[in-house]
Amino acid sequence: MRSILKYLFPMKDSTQNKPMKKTITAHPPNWILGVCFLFGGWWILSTIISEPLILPSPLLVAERILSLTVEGSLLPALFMTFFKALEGLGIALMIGTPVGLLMGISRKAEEWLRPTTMVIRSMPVVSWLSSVIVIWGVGWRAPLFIIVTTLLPLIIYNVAQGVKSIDMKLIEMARVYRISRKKVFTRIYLGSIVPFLLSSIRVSLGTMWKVAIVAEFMAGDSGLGIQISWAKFYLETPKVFAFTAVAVISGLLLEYLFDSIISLLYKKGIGIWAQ
Amino acid sequence: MGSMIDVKGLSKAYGNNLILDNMNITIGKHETVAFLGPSGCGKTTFLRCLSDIDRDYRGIINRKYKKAGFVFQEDRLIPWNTLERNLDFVSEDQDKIREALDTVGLLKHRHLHPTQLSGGMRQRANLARALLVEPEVIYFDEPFQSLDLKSKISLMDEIKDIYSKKQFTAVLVTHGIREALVFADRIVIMSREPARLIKEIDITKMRSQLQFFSPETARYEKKILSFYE
Repeated sequence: MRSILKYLFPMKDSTQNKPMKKTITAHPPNWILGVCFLFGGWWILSTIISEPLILPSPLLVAERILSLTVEGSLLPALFMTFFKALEGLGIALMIGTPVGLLMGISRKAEEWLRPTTMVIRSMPVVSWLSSVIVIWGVGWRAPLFIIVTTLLPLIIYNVAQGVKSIDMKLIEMARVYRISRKKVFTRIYLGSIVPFLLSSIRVSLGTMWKVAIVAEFMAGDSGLGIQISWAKFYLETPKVFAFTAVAVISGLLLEYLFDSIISLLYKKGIGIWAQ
Repeated sequence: MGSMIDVKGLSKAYGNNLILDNMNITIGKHETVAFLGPSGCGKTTFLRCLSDIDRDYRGIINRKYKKAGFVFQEDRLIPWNTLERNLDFVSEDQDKIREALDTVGLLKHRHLHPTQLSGGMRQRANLARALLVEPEVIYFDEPFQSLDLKSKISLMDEIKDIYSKKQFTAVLVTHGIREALVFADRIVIMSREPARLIKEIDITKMRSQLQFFSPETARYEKKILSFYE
């Protein structure tokens, strides 16, 4: 595994890391301008509308985030959603990886499983919800099920694609040297799917967060989704915006954290990604 | 010198397209044989049949060995494994791995990944993997093709040096006439598709004169070229 990670996150050539001469610029970075544009636009729009029930101002939303944190309803909800989303991702990985491997290795298995995975992928969240609410009612099971069913096809297809992209010349080399099937599987097949698995986790991180909140909104009993649902019910729009803002920021932070870990491994690693 | 590989009436076709046509040859024990021919004439197909990678052929190939190594045209190293791990894929005997890496001069690079090595070093690792199985026969499929001249000559010298110590049977297919002349004791020339064995030249007696840049090699090169239609 360490070896695979080194290959995936290679170390850059030290000569390429020489600091370039800094050019003095009077302009702030573009992303700061982008954030200013977003919040400025939001603020102008909320001032024009002048109705917090429709569009609260950024300041009002920030105040509400602070008050929700102080009264202790924000962080537990955030934790519950986060826990469910990660749990869903874990289950989807545990099921999706072997199924994807099977679909990548065996054409027959792919033909057998493809219709099912296609249906799971195309099925709208609300259709699942109507069934799972009947089975489990409102609670943690329904959102978890929705997260798993949403992420599962993504992981299956990525892993299957990873297996299909295996260099067949390596397999032939293994055949020439009469290497056992077990060794070929662990050393070549599993090694080949790691980049695809990582990319599916990266995509899943963004998706799982949104799906978790929607599922909690409709069939949950805890988490950010249900908090948004209750706030909407009592027409507390600033509260809806506060929970939404926290969800968006958390999702972005999660993706940023994942990218940072990858980037750190990239800097410390060695291998073809250095090119 | 007993025979190591006997080929009788070897033919191979892809659909209606005949690639190898009734080939007969005997390769002796400890012999170095180079099969030469124009690009695309079926040299690699011939080597794949000979080495048992491709079993879909007509004719009889009698292989009188137990272990064979294969030096592929491309290095075929696992990119996410270090050199040591790549060799560990073929044999788990750590002493043998070190010995094989030492033989090809890559022992100090054993912790590096294939992408951190030059083309020549990767081909040497490819050779080390073949040596690891303690082969009686090593098949070489255009091993010098992707190398620059300096790496090519260096690898050739290395193989010859290893050959003098280990005494395996070497079968090389190449379209580089000079490489074949420097490498082999016997040159076998193949015709264009469908490939037939059209000429055999024993150069054992000329061995000392056939250096990569010697006039004798150039003379033989010209002679061999005349056999290409």
